[in-house]
Amino acid sequence: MWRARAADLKLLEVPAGPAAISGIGRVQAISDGELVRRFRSGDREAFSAIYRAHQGAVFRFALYLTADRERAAEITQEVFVWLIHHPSAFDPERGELAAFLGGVARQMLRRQRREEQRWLPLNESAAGTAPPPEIGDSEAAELWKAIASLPERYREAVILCDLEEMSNEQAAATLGCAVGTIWSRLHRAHELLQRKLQGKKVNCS
Amino acid sequence: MNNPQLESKMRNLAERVAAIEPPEGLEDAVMAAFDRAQRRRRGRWLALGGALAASLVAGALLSRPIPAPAPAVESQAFYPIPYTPPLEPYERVLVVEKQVPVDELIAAGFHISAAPGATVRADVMVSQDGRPRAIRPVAFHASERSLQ
Repeated sequence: MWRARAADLKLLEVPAGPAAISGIGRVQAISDGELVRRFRSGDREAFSAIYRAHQGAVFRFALYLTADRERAAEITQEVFVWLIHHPSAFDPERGELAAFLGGVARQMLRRQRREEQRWLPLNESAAGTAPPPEIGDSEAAELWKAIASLPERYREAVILCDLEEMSNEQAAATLGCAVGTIWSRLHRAHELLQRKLQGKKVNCS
Repeated sequence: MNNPQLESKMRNLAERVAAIEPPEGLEDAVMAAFDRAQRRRRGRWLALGGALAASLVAGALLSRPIPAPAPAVESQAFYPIPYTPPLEPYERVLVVEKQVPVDELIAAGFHISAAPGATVRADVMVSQDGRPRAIRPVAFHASERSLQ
């Protein structure tokens, strides 16, 4: 699963009923499928709950890939605005909303990178390996650089599975590949990372 | 992952990244986009409803039985005054209504059977040179019956 935080919980207030009377509480967890169904019918609270549940994961995924808090926020905003204008694009029968939104974020990042590369000189890369200043700690910064220097297919697998704690199945749905592919990418990525962190020369191909 | 050291470093990095909050105002911007989209959606439905209502009204109006047009009143033609040059198509004329003695009409060349001294109220078409060119009777004041 995506790393959950208090702000990520999907909670919606429901009218007072037996649960409230017995003192259990007035909030009730609602499935993504139900929230999406309500959001499609124009329910603002449902959309707000979807946003709060998933914005953190989308933002972090974009942050890992851009190393820029502002750009990550832009991507996050684009993902949810896109969802507003394509309410029927997500099919709960075909997968989880978290994986779906991760896939949308990935497509937007790729499109943004393609547009940037059109205007960059050939010797400059659109994505740097320097971590955002908020990371601070030298060990974390060193790992960030090592991950950022991995080929994209390995980097995405590490971000989703190791850092965001997605299952291989969820990562496969996000990246649009087979579960076995995720497993092999992770295996190769871990080898490369160990070598990089030990200061050995690595062949990233 | 089989490397506890790498796993520990990953956890440390993930915790540091999780502590980075998106800029303030992001949620407000997204919810504002949601509200705008809802307003547009409602506007589209209203416009669609309005268009549907308008088309229903138009359909009802068009499907009403159309009343038969009133029979056209056949306008009475002007009779050209004999022995005067025909009017050119571009020539401007003036029509004046006046009481015309039947004798004058007979003198002008009309064949009229009427009692002596009778008059006829008629529209007289006068050309640019001030000469009468045609006449259209409006009402007879005696026993006139025909104008040829």
